[in-house]
Amino acid sequence: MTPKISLLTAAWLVLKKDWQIEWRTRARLTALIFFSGATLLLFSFAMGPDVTSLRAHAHGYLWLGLLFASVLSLGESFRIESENQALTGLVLTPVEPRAIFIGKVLGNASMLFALSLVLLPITIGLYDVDLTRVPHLLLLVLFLGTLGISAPGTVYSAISANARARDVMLPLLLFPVLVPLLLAAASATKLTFQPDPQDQLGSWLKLLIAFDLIYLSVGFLVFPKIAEED
Amino acid sequence: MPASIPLLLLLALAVMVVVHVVVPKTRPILWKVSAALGLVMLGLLMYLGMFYAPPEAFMSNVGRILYVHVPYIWMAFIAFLMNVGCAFAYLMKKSWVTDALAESSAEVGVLFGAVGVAMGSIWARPTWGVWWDWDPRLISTTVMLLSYVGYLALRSFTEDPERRATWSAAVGILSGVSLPITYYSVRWWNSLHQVQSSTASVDKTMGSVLLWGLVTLLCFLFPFIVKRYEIARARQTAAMELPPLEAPRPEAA
Amino acid sequence: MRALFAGLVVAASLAFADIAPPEKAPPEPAPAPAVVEPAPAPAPAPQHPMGIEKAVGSGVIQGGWEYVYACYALAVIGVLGYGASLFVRRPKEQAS
Repeated sequence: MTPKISLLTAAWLVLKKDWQIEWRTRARLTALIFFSGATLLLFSFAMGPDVTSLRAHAHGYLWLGLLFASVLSLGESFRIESENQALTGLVLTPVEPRAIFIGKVLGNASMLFALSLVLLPITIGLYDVDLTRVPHLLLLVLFLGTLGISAPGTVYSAISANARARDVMLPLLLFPVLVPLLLAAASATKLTFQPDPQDQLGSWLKLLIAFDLIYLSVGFLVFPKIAEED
Repeated sequence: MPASIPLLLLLALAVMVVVHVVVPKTRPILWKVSAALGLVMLGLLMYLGMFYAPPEAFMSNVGRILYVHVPYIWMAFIAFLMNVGCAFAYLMKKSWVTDALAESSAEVGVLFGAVGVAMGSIWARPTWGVWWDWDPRLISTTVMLLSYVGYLALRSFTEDPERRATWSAAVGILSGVSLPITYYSVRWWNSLHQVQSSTASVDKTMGSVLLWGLVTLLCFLFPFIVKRYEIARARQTAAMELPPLEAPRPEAA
Repeated sequence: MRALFAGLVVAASLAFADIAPPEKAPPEPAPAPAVVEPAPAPAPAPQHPMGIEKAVGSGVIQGGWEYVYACYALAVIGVLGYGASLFVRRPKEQAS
């Protein structure tokens, strides 16, 4: 037996490795920012210049922009591994595949969360929303939402990175699963942008937490099987 | 018509399925019996549903769509449930049988689900005045359908049989898990759809006709899954000289 | 590929040609509602021969048989069509 390191340490190492790769070029985050910024801009073109209706739907545009960007980001996160069989190497190291899963999920989630933080000022500029009502809850929603995209997204991108037609496959598999997340995250974000007369924000937050926990645990169980096949 | 007639037929079908699984010798015959029974019952269902059953209280004759719509959707649910079960079983213990069954049930489920949703859309037109509405059950069924279309696409885009089996089992489980979450999250929106129709919630005659419809489609579900399973098995065998599943591989930890 | 691009260019130029202001005004699409107006439906007659209950309507959907036929046809087509597709894809008979 090789000396084993704990699950969390291994996950932290995987996460650190992903951050280092990203930090060296900063290519992925830059590309994502431009991509989703352009998406948000295009939404306002497609919907017309009516500021009231743009403001009323800003939460939806923000999450659609994040969702589209997440497909790029998730696809990239395993593409770097499938080049030069890096994932095989990673699986062969004395590291539990589950640690790879946790590290990858956190890496993807942190990337998307950073992206969402950059998108917030853009939404102010384009849609004139008010972010100052409950900023801490807004951050919580963004964090839970991006984590929820990443948990099933990491499983699916590990699959589609090696499949044929992978660029089509990832959204095809991922979007149906993310429907509840999109609903909850967009509704919760709406209630942080606008007044929440019926106090519904809490229940959407609960749904987000439940979604995250369910997919983190399902991915935790399923990912080792997938990693074996890569 | 008393409800005992379709119940008896259901019992006969259940016996057929059990015998099919337990006694391999009967396999070439039983699916034919079931399909033939299904065809006869389908012909009778036309009569029973359209003329014998009483008109619905509010929807009148349009309500007769119930007898085909509900069974179709139920068959889709049964097939997807079976798919999740097979996916789970495959991840527990690798087997080409559960993989082929999963493929077969997913495709049959997509067929029944697609037809059922189309029927629901036709039904919505005269009752709700629209072809489509943002109703929880409608959306979650459609989302379920979409995720299984993705499942089938993944299967057809992956050549390596073992990879395909593992990947699609993972996707099957994730899609299955997403179903109840989708349903409950969409239910927060205001619901238009009537309460689920089951045999208990409707008039006695209507109940037995609905049961008749369910048994009719079960008679088709069984041979469909069996025959699609055989196709899947034949493809597996054709794709390779089935290597041992637990090939010696370097231990990962 | 080149032919495709040529076709695209032609299509695009045609589309741009459409943007040029038309020489004459396009035919008025307006008169359509005006035609409907002179003949209001005589349905809600105040004194209905069958009595006021029938005239008001009972909230029950009338007719709609075409939807029922469509659904039952779909039910048959779905089952038979898939059966046919399974037959077409049937595995070839093997020696074993």
